[in-house]
Amino acid sequence: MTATTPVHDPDVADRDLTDETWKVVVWNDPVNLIDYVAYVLRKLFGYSEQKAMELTMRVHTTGRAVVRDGPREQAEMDCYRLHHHGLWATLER
Amino acid sequence: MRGPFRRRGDRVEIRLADHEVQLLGQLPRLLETVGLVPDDPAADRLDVPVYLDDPDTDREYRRWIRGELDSARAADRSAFAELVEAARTGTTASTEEAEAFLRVLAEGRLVLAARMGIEVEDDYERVSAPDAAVLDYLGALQALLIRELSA
Repeated sequence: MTATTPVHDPDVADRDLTDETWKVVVWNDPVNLIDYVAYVLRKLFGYSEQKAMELTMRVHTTGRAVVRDGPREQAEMDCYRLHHHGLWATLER
Repeated sequence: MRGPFRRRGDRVEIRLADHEVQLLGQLPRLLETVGLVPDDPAADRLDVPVYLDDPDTDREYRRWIRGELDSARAADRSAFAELVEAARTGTTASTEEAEAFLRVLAEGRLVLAARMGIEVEDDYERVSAPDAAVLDYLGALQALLIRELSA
């Protein structure tokens, strides 16, 4: 996968980047294919086929799923990568 | 019946018929119009909020990420356009190039669906048969490419 790393804006870097855990949430949408969402989760996060499909089906059936969590900077990067693949991802504590 | 993609070691062979090249060749140009049309629902779909309960932080994050996301999408579209043209006579793509191809197919479906007014699954019932066929075709290509990339 193309390694695209956003340039870190110093103004942003200086803000609150505590150890607090942030959740990366993927939301259901009526367009992206189930197989595509599962593929993206496997590729981006290294999940097994089974785990990626379980998370994808949770998104599909309940409307959303927490697909990963971690420090804020990592979670923001996860969101960026998911958006690059056309998935709708949000962050929450 | 064979699909347009076939795994060859660590590469993916792509071969498209002339009519597919003509159709898919329009996709990058279509995607470049996102945001240039007033009240374009596709622009909202490609620039979604991240911090739902914190508009200030959300604005800051999206300002930080916007340029990189635009550049990454432009690079994908460029790779896609080159592969589509080369696929007329047959070409092979690296995994990274094939994944860029996959992302453009996904982006194309999102943009077209947004402009067709598809916001929830029931909206598919209101879409015309030709519009639905375009979405189905792009989706079929995605499924076939994922199969080869997963092989």
